[in-house]
Amino acid sequence: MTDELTCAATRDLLPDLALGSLPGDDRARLLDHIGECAACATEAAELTSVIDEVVVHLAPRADPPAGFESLVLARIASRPAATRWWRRPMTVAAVVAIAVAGTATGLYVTGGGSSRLDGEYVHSLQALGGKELRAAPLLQRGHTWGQAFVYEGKQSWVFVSMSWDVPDGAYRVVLDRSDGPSLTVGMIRLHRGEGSAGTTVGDTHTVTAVRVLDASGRTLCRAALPE
Amino acid sequence: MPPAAAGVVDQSGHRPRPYHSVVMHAADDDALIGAMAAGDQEAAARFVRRHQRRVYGLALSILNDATAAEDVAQEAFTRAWRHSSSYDARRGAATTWLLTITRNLAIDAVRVRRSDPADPSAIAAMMGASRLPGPAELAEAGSDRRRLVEAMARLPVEQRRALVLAAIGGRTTEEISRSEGIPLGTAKTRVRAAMHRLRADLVPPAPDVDLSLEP
Repeated sequence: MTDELTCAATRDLLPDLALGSLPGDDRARLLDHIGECAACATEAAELTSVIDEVVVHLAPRADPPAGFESLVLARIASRPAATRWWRRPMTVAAVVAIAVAGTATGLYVTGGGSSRLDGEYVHSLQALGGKELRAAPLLQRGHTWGQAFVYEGKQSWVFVSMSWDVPDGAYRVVLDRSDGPSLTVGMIRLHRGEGSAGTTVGDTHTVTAVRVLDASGRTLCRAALPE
Repeated sequence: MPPAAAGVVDQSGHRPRPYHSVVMHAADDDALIGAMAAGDQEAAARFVRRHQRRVYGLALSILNDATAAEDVAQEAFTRAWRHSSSYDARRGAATTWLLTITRNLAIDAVRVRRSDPADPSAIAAMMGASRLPGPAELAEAGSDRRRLVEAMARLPVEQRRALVLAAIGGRTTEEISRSEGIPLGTAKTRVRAAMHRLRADLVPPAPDVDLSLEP
């Protein structure tokens, strides 16, 4: 006896999968089949998108009880998130979009290029109390290895993204400052030469450059930030 | 030379594309989640403010219990905060991501608590034909919502009701069978038929591609 599902049996269960109502065992068998069958995978994705559409567009809205926002923020504040690094390709795009937006009302942005959504990102960051976003390429002997972004706002942050042919592994990210010694703020992990990472930091207005170092402490590339 | 910010006439004399509310919302959400991923609690506050009515409303529609719904809604935002670094906008809009988290949490909660699920008549009435937006409201709605509402309106009412109970009420087909007083097989058929009809209406068919090699 085999536990493998046929396409017909799979498709009979796909609506339940999309609705999230399948028991664990059936779900596991179904996902095994979908992993091997492009046609069933496509149908599963389409049925899931149907449920997503119904929920997003038709779910009723209701005012939560008074104090809801404060309670959520209290829960969030209790979670250690302030120093974590993150890797997220779309965030790279978002940050790049900000950096290329040019000078926008209230938020001073340095950089160049173009982006379809630039104005909206600037709008959001401005609404968050942003003062300045500085961007610069991470350079090594004239070659651009990545980008560095330093954002100053109510909560300031640093973000670096890299794409270069260097060995996979973790590399140290250091901020050079005009008013004190250099400061290590985290690690960036590269996979197949690519990676991105960011973290919140304290005051950023004295940061003059962002550097990426290898395990021996050698500077691989450096981004000199605009004054 | 960086492009001009939106709202400013650029050097070519063209006014940059006006903000499109839907695109702006999506872009704002991506920016907020990006800032959340970096640990920005102010961004989290804005994200909560923006989405709390939808999150709480969905949780309430599934749980039919204000206290339980508030717990689920709080947990949904907390998870969004904790997992903001893994959010990938290429896989779906932020709203979809957040409401999926909410729906899963609410369904888990209703299964564990065995609390009284929402009155199916109340949900169905809220979402049923009488509640579908009229022409004026539809004209104001985004094109995606308009297409969905129109497709829903084309469903037989019993299928629409079953689908709403399953998708928004978080009910299993067994529960729908009991509450509607219909055989389990009929409940399953209604839900599945509705999903397949909506899929046919909403998901564009793959384009015909001519791969012939003959001239």
